[in-house]
Amino acid sequence: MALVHVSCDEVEADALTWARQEGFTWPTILFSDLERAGLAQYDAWPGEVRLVDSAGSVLTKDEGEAFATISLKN
Amino acid sequence: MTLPLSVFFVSPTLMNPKILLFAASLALVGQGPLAARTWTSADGSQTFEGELRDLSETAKTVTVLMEGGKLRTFKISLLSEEDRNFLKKEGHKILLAASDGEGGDNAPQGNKIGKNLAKEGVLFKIEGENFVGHKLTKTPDYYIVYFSASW
Repeated sequence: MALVHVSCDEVEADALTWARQEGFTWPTILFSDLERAGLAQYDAWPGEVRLVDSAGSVLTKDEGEAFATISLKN
Repeated sequence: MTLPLSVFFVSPTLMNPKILLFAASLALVGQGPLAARTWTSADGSQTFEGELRDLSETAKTVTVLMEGGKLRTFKISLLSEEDRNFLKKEGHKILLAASDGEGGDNAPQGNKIGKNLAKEGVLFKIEGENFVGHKLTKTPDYYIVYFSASW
């Protein structure tokens, strides 16, 4: 399982400033690379989550359901 | 499955608290539900024992490890309504729970998202004052993609 963060800031400098301020340590995909990363297909808004499998299929867009799925690991 | 501990030290004012809980739950690995069950054909005339190994919503197929050790992939529509409901409600949860979280370096060729993320200049991490290129050391079976912005 990997947590991947997509920055929806269109200006890279804004994304960098925010990431630096908060000390993001997880992998980030910049907005300009969304297409190349194959993640534009998810058509998501800031604050949304997608739980996807390795084939890229969305298992859920619902945060609650995603949490419940992951909670099975507990 | 591993996540950097620093995931948990983000300002909750900027990251959705649910996401933090979500990320935290990833660190707690336990025994998931069993994938083995008795499957029944759609018309109810046949049953067989097998362990759920894969599920494709796009192809609408399920892969089961049969008692004899053979993997068989077949259309979900060939299964009973109870089995179909089971797959719909529990299938991905079971596969996720059964996974050790990461596919390792020998990830299946079907790992489309992993291939895209492995491209040069797609993933970045903060190093010092700048973003620098980053590569995942393993190819996970599942990804949580979190979209956010500074605004």
